[in-house]
Amino acid sequence: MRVVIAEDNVLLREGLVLLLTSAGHEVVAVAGTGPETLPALLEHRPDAAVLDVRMPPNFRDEGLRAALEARKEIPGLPVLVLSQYVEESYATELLGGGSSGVGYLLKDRVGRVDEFLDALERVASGGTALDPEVVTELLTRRKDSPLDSLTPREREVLELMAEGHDNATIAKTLVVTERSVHKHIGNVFLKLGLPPTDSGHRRVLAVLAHLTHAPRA
Amino acid sequence: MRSTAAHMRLGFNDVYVHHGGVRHISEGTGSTPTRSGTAGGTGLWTSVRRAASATAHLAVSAAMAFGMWIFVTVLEITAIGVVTVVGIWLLPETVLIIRRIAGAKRSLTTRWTGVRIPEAYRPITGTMRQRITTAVRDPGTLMDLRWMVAYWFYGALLALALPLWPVGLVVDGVWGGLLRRTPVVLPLIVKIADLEADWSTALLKPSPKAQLAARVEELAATRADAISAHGAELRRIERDLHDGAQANLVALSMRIGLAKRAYDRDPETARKLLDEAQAQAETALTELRQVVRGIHPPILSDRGLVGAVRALAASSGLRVSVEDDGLEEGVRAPAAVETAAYFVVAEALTNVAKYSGVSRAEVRLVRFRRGLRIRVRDEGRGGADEKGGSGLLGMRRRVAALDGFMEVSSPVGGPTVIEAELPCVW
Repeated sequence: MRVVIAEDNVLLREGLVLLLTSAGHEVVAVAGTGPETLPALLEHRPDAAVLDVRMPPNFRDEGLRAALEARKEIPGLPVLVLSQYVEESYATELLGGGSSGVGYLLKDRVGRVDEFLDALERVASGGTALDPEVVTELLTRRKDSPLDSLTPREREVLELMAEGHDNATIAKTLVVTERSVHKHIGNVFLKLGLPPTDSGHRRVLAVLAHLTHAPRA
Repeated sequence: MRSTAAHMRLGFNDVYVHHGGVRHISEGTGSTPTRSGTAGGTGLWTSVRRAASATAHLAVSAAMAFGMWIFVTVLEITAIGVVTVVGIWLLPETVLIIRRIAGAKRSLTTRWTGVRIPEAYRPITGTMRQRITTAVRDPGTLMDLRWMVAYWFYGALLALALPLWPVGLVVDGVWGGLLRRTPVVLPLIVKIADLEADWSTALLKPSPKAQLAARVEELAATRADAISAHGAELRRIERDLHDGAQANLVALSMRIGLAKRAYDRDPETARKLLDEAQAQAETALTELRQVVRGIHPPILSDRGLVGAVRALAASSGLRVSVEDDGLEEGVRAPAAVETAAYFVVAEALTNVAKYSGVSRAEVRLVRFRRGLRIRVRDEGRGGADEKGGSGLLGMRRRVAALDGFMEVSSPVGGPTVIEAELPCVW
């Protein structure tokens, strides 16, 4: 697929280009600063964009803003945002700016090449990829919520679901059958009071919407 | 007003505490007494009540003056003792007692007027010789003595007020009670108490020079604190990096070395070592991230103080309303001030979540001409104790290091209000 990369650190940028091309993707443009990013995205309309949050000139949240801007212009443009640290509010902003094709990962995750490529593909195909750290933050900050009634296993399933994984991957990660994953998901939805939805990213979004907007205890 | 009390108490002893001494917080810090003589309302009953509290004030003042008359006798004995050299050892102690009395009078006057009278003494410490020198040379000593002499006379103003009562009750009873006119005699008692308080304020206020000297002393102390805090912080960072990231990187390099050796003869082991190496690299990164967060929260750079505090509020697990005044986009306080403000809010919200028993809090950030004011308030169970290890002490240090000051009001039963002011130039 065609990818646009925005990353100011040369080493990381070259690393990403190498990684993506060796995986058979085509890097159509690279941007090194905030102002370059948005035009590159709008011009190339890539299948996916990999964006660093903090870039010149101000080293603030240029990448994130570019991602949000671009998705306003091209709804559903798949963006995978990379950051040196995770910030829950950034995830909320990204998810709030449109429904599908959003990823938010720690830069560290690039090291796990297969998982990173998998996340990118998931985002490109309209799914979600959230960093486990973000999910942990989303899940741990609430008191007295229905989350407390989940069993540890159900919680694990919910975490993996929120990260954006499908049933097969969840089953593989937890070393259980897909059938039991299905059953756990049913329980989670029941306990959280969410309407049952079919598989795919719609249910991920339902879960995330619940986590980011649910009233806090 | 608990912290005020603590301040006063410290002020009596030799520890020099000046925070909040000169500056006055008027909002939300509890019961600031209003000057009775200037409050509205003209009914007879009000007049009687006010006159009564004025009399009470004067009575306490008179009692104090009486105590002082006795004390001054002791003082004279000391003075004579000093002349005969024997009593010179008593001098610093005597000055300390005088300070204590003046301090008591200051808080008594403050209770009547609601206006704090700053205190500026040089600490009496060191060898006996130094203590004696300070006790004699401190301009505060002379001032206190001046006040004592004056108080010798005006301390008995109660004598003026008491005879006014029978007259007042009769005159104002007819005038105010029956004819519904404004009482005239009873308010005079209030006037006398006001006069007494005004004189005390004027006499007990340190000279500008003494205040300046105290300010220099305070700045020197906070500066030394700031430097040592800075040093401790650097050591902590060094240790964190050394024990954490650096150790992990060494182990990582070692594993890669071992993997290289095993690469040809035992690919399976090599793969396992590389897996471990990667996990190690990730641990190192996580630790680095934590160190960075501790030095300067990254979101402050990205979003500024208000944005960072909003993010903090969103992730606190509480319902937090964040208000800001004058901190619009583009206006930034110095980084050190923003960082301190951020940590104060973070710590305060952590306390709300841990101890208050409620899930709501209010955060207010106000920019004013000479600094930034932070206020965190909750309607929880209150009773926050600085000795309880609730992080209040750390907050106070952070704020003091920037020459700011902090006040905590947390009566049992709530609400808890933490207010900090950080001076800065905008």
